[in-house]
Amino acid sequence: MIGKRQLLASAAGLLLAAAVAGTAAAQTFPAGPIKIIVPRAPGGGSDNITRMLAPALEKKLGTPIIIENRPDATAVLGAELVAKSKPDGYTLYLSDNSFYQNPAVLDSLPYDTVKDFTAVTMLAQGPVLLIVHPSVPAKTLGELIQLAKKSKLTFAHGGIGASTHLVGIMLNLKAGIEVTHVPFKSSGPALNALLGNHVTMQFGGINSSKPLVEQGKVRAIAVTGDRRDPSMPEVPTFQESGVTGADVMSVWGLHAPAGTPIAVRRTIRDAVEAVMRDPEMTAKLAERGYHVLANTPEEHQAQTAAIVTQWLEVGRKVNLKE
Amino acid sequence: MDIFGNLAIGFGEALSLTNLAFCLIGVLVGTLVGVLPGLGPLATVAMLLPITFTMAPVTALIMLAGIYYGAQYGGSTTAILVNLPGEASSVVTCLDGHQMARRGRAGAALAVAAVGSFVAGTFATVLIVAVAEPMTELALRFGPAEYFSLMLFGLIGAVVLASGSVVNALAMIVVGLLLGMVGIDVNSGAQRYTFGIPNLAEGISFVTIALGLFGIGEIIHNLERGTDRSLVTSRLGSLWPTRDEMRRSARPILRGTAIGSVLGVLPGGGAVLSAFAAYTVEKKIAADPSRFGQGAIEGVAGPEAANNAGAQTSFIPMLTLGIPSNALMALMIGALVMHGIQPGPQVLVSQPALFWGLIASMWIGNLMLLVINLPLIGMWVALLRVPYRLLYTAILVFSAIGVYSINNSVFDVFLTAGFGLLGYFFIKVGAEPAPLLLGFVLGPMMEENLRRAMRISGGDPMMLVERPISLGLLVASAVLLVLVLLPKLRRVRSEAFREA
Repeated sequence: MIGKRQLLASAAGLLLAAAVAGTAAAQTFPAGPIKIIVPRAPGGGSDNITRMLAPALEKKLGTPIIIENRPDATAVLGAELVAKSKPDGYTLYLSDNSFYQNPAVLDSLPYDTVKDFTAVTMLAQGPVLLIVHPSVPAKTLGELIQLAKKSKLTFAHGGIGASTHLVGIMLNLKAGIEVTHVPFKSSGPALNALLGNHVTMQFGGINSSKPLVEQGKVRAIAVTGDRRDPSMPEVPTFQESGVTGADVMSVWGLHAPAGTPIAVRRTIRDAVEAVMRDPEMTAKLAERGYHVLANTPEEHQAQTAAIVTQWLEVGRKVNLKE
Repeated sequence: MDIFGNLAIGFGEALSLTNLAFCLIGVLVGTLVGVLPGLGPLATVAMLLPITFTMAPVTALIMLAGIYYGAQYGGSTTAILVNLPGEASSVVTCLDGHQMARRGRAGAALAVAAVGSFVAGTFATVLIVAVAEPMTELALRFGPAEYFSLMLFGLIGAVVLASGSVVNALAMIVVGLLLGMVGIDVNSGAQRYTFGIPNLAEGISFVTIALGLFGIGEIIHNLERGTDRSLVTSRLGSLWPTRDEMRRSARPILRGTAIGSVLGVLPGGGAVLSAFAAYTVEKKIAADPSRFGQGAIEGVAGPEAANNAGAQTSFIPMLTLGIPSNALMALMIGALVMHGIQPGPQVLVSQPALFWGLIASMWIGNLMLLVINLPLIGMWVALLRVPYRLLYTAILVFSAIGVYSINNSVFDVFLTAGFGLLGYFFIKVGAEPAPLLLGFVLGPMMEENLRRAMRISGGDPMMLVERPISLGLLVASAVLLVLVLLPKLRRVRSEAFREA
């Protein structure tokens, strides 16, 4: 039988241990495994970047990184889970376009995108590429817009509210054309439909389209972003082609629950930056269509608010839900 | 193209000691996750992906592919022994495979499934080598209109699946269609039948519904009958197929291989449809269709061959175009890119050792699976001697873990339990759940593609009949419908066959 004193002693010991662990955690974060909630299924763009970074991050931080997929089409479930987690830096959220656009696209959210989260870093951005089937006579964006004014064209995209969909909406808006959108569950099947000439054009990522462009199976028209993409320098930007304000980038960020200490967020961000700036990793990421950003928590905090506001404004002008 | 030269490169690569070892590991892991209900190859591959970063690209791909087709083998084992379909394609195996097990022919069913899969795997390998390019072209011809007609054909075929009345089957298909509507609509982004529950936004997962309706429902039913004994007590029968069983399986295996090889190339619905299509064909051309659902070996041989052939030919669009036909192929592409190889038309030219090595390894892997699985049949069948009170608790525990692991969602576990009750109800009223599952899988794809086709044509339904492939499928659907709706004709026909 365990004596009362013994019990007390062990209880005190436990308390002491907990206290020591507590201070140690504050000084040397991380003291345990870090969980990254990915709101998408394995194999998607958001999952891929996380899985590419995880092994190197584990080494850098000296702690296991657990990737937990909580897939749903609007990426709300995972975000809600993180918003409700302890703000200690051990639960992080891999935010993609839906996270920033949801306030403008969905009627209600179980959390506040700006207030319930605090930013860690914007990991990377990726341009969206406009490609057409080779049988389409238009060779430039200008010609394509002229064609769209004369005939009925269609564009395929990777899902309602995805960056590939929103670029199309913005192009319609800015160029004054009405190209019918044809939604697919993801960009893969959308690309398939373009290859089979079932749609006129498609908005998608660079990495999957590049080999097909090189083979002449599809033709690249324009790319979003301030400057041309280094992996496809021959493709002009939308701005060069005469359409401004249609640029939507695919984005991937890291967020923590609101109240996560800045010291902890800095530690994570610094590790992320070191890992992503490794030349070999940067090259691998670029090949996959991720352009490394890894900005500071403060920068990303302001950026998050700006992107959310930007989409709310667009949402007032066009119906983003259809 | 020098096929033999290419194959020589491929086998040279695949037969290296490292690659052989990882091929073996892959198929073993695959078999294991296939046998465990609910636990699928997708989660396994995702978890193992980081490990493969340290391997040579061809080794990584060989192992991951091994997990994929190994799981197809393993999945049929659970389907036959305990009536638990781990994925869409093994639903069909449950129908007659489990009935065979109940009649003491579990060993024969497992053996035929393994041999059928091996034969199909061999043919599919040859097919990939010979006609990968033209097959890709065929797949690209399938646009929204063609997919709609294909799904329609599949749904009408679903009626043939049921052994009971046609009205019953139609009702089950409609229930399946409705369940398939749950979640975010791809075409409008609107949520349907989610009742504001975020867990339903992505729709109901197939595994949830299949495990509930088939597995849990049957467990409740067995417990009610007071089966505190093994599933198959009286006689286990010979482990090996009789000469008659062998003879009757030969043709279905070949037909299943052909069907699976073609349909497997189509992204999305292809692999699912192949097993259903093979079953439908076997039942339609059988001299005595009433044997189906009672443990007809043709109903195991055809679909098993078809799903394995389909699993393998689904690599074609991934390898030749860099386009994933399902989430698992997307992971494979992710693995390739991590190794600095961008999948696409140029892989065949720039990485011949990788391309042909992978293909050769598939055949070797299939051979390994056959060698591993045939001796294991005795062990699997012995599992049926385990007292039912132990067996069903184990099944429930593994099902719960499997369902949870798909989305890390407790909600899904409760949903499975709910479908279990529904499955029990269906058994009680004598309604077969297989058509429901086909409606559930094909219905949303049919709707999605119809609306997509209408968007493209600007609302003109003529698009469906103007395109030759679509028209052909619609005509085939009409013919099938006539055959189904004229039971008298069918009876006369089958009697004529029997006398002949």
